[in-house]
Amino acid sequence: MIGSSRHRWYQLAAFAVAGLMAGVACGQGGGGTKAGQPTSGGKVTVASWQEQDSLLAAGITSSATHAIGFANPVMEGLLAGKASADVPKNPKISDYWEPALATEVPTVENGDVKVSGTTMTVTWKLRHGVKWHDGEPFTSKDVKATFDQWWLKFGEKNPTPMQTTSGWDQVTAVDTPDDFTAVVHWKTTFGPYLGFGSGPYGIMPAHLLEKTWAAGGDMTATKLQIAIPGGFNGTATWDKFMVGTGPYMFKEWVTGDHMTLVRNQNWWGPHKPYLDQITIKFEPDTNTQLADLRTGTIDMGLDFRAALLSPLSHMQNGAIITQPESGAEKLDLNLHNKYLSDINIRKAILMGIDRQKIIDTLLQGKSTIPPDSWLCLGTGAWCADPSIPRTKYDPAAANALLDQAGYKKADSGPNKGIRLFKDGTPISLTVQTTAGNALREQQEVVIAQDLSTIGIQIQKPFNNPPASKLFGAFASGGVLYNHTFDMAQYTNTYGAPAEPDAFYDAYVSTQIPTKENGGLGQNSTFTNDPAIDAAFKQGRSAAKQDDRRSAYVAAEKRLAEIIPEIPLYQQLGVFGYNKKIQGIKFNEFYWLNNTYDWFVS
Amino acid sequence: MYQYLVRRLLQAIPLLLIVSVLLFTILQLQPIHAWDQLLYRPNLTAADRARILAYYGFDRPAPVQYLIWLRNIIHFDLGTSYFSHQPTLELIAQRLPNTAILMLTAYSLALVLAIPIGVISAVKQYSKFDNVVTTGAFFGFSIPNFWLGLMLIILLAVIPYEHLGFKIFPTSGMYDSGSEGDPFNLAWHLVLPAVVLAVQFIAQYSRFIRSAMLDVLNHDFVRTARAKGLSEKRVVTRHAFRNALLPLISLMGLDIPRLFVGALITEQVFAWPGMGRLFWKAAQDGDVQVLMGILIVLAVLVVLGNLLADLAYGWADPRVQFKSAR
Amino acid sequence: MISPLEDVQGLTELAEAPADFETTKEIGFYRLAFRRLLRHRMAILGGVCLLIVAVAALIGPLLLPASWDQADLEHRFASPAWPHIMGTDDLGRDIFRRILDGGRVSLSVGLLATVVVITVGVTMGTVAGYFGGLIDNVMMRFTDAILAVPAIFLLILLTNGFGHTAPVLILAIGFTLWTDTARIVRSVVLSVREKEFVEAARAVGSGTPTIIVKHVLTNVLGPIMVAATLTVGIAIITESALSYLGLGIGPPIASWGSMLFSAQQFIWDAPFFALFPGTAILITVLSINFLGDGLRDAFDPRSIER
Repeated sequence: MIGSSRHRWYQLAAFAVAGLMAGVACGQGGGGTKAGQPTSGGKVTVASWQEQDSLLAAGITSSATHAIGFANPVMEGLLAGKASADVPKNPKISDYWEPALATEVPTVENGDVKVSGTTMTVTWKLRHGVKWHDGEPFTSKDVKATFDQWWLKFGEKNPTPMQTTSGWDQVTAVDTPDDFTAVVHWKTTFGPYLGFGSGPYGIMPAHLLEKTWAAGGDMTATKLQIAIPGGFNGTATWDKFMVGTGPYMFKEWVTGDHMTLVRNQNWWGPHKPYLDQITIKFEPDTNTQLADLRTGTIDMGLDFRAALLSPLSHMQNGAIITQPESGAEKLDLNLHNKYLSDINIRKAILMGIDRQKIIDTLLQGKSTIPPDSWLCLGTGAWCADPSIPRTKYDPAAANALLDQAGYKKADSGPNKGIRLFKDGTPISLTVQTTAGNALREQQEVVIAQDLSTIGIQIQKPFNNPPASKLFGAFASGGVLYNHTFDMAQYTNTYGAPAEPDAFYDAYVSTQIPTKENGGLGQNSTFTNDPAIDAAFKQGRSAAKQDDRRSAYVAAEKRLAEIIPEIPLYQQLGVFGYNKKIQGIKFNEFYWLNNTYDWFVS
Repeated sequence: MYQYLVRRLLQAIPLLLIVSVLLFTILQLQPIHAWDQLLYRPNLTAADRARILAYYGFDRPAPVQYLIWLRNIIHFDLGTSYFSHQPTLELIAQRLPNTAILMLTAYSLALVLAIPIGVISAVKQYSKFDNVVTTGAFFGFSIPNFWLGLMLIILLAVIPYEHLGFKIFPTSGMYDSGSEGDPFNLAWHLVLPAVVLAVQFIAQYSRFIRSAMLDVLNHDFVRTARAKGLSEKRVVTRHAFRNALLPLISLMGLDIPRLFVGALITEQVFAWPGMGRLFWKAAQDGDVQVLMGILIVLAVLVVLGNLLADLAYGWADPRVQFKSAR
Repeated sequence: MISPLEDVQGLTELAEAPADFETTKEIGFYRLAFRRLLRHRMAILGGVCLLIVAVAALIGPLLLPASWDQADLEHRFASPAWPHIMGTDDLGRDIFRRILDGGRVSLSVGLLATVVVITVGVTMGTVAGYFGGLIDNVMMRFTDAILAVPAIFLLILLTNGFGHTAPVLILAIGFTLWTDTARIVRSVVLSVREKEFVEAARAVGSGTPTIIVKHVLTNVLGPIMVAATLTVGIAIITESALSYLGLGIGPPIASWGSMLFSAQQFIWDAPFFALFPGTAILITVLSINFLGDGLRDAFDPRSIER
């Protein structure tokens, strides 16, 4: 699934951060801290700059990464995302998940997934002795009810505005032969099956869903009486409560200010969670978060990445996690633009931007340049292939290539220094990104400068639209999907661990939004290649990992040949926290993912 | 007087209608639509899209949407946010008090300072005090208040923190985490934003009072009072001041919109959780119902404010009779 | 934002004041006003300052090396030192040069928005005052409607709706500021019209509209000049406020307001960033206000008494 949440971030990054303390950097992916003796007790305050509008934004009616993070300690799924540090070398897709409400990860290899012809069944073995926070026992009924809510009960006429039914609509039935087994029947051999029912808010409580259905079925309008001993007590719609099975329970949410989670004494895990309470403080200004972190007013800040990292005075007790992500910041190229339709110009652009310089200066060297196709980064490592080319910065070669292609630089006149195209017009392009994002604006300036040295003009001012206009729907005149851009800069990442299927919409030719297809799809670049189409289709419909891998490698190879996008750098997530918190292990997609192990010294 | 009141209130209705049509039209032109976000989903299918659009009622034509909105307004239903599913009135009720606290504190500060400064400047015209104050007032109107906010943050928070290890005043928000509801914490957080918001009003009102006082002090009735042998103090406080206050009252009524404007900007600088930020977020999201709701509430407050100012003027000035229209 | 035009009442009185136009014509009303202006020290100071700012903004960028406008990633956040007297910004560009470039943007938006204000204000005021009755009523309701919505809210919607380009910015800012000018012109037109009807009743059919126009123009010119001057200041502050909020003309075009927006991002890295653009706005607007104040006193015949 495409990480739609990322785009929402950039929309809200108007107050992008100034800097981070470069205390003892806790290294890549995971940020493990020293093992001490865990002690029970203590509180942790986490700051976030993105307050959700509704708790259903944790993937139900919309997806906001921060909201998904907050739901993580409370609402569990069949599987949980494994901490990045725990993922083994040469991982298989199933290695990115670990059992939570289910007791094992179902795969073809261990027999839980049975393929017969074009259909498959996935058997989930469920955990015993789990209770919902309000006291109800967790059983296979809850798994069935979840699938019912997403698709089986209402189909296309769901009274709740579920964010999408894509994927869920491939399920034909869910059987519950006993209280601790659920069998999901898929009508196709659906590759990404592990993510459905897994992760934060993966499984919803059946007893509450049934009450909602009885009252009309709209989760956003039905008020339910909730009584969580020690937690939230009151009447609210699903927007304002969470009843889960996780190590922490939802206590309160004071909009505009904070949210409180308290320890679940009856959690099923190997030990009781250590912290008494986790408070999430909403601070829209990341500068303030920075300051508060230093003064100890907060203990952790989420997602500082949006602007620039710069070393500040070393914070006494600070630790940083820079988490490389499964996606890249990139420039989409509009393949129908008369200049960009020439592969030589695209190749020259790829060679003409000094990406390493951008990384070294604007990102403090904390990222890397991806291969020419960035399809398999981060948790996508299972489908990465060393044979994919990595073009280097080489303005001399770029100049030579363009000269050879016949685009000479004008000697004089208004277009002096700019190359002229076959029709005599100067090669002049626009570049756009989300408005109000300091880091991206800086990059635009640098890119424009680099390209002018190879004779390609970037028009000024950049006219960056607000994020909602850039990513807006086809019908609203959104820039990307109406293709009203030459080059557009933004980030795309996986929505779930290890799932390149997220980019199906971005590259398959049937997903080019047009009037005819109702404006569906997210193929902004006009990528239209039969080999790519076939590869993504195969990746989606194969259940065996090896088959999926060869499909995605084929896609990468072809994408690296066509160059519909210029990958700039691997996206990274930055978190800062006070070293007094120990036991933290991060997961790229699901923040706050091992809160049960956190303790304060 | 009651007739006047009723007439003014009745006049307000067509005014508000015009405002609502104007705003609604402008909002229709917004390229930012709520459905852009609502439809930005992974692997969205055509059926998903139709379902979501129908759920939120986006598929109806604009004039129909306006009439529906109007009908709802009459029932005091200001619509619901497309994102939080909360009624607009509830959202406004959560945020308006925060903005009100800021505005009232700043405004009171402004009056408490501006009135005495203005009076003293007028009485001691051309003195050193007057000159200093006049120059200060010019600075006050010329300084962009967001810059003043930034500079105060730098001087009173960033720099002391870098060199001394603590902040003299906080840089944002209403309360520190864990101190919600603590009035001292609130007061500490209020200082900088209220000062920033108050500055332009102090500058303007002090000048205004000064010139109004000067006008009044030169009037015949004041000369008469002096001739009668009343002490200067009495002349100033009882006679001149009350008369000088009158134009200020009507100015105050007209200033309510400016107070909101200043508040929106101050809220952005200090991340103050008020109506301004609510509006800002709704504008970014395209949350049309919330936007219309906020704007109408503001327009109503402005109209009421003007009305109150006129009434107050009438009460303060016995010469005014609420008869003819302007 | 702020409005030193609070004194609409005062300016209107100013406009209606010189009743005995013919006598003052001999001394040269405007010559007299100009001489009074010259004696107003602060106004002269303001005027001179403004001139310096304008000239610097116009020709300054031409005199500084072009490379200073380019990103120089190795020398970001340099402290003020020769030759970069104000230091460099987050991309290594010379701040002084960006201030001058920003000056061009701010001054031109300010001036053009004022032109819009004067044009619309005079037109609306004249139409309302001349025709009176229903048209006047409708127009006054319309202006009340615009005033009922606080300016910045309207500006946010208008710039989102029509795009963040210079013409939109100029028209939108102008749209929120014309009402005071219209009020002034309207009251002058109304009062002149009344007087003219009385005289026309006595005289025999001379071109009434022409006389009205002549009298209106001559009476209104002074206050309009004051209002226009002060409006430029307000427009500059409004444009910077919008740029600060991220709604102005986009990057990489420098604008004082957007430089302040960046300054807030980098407040911990380089606190001095915010100093220069803000001071530039302050100096410019202060000069404008002094000048405007001087003009106001110059045109006020009562000022002789003070």
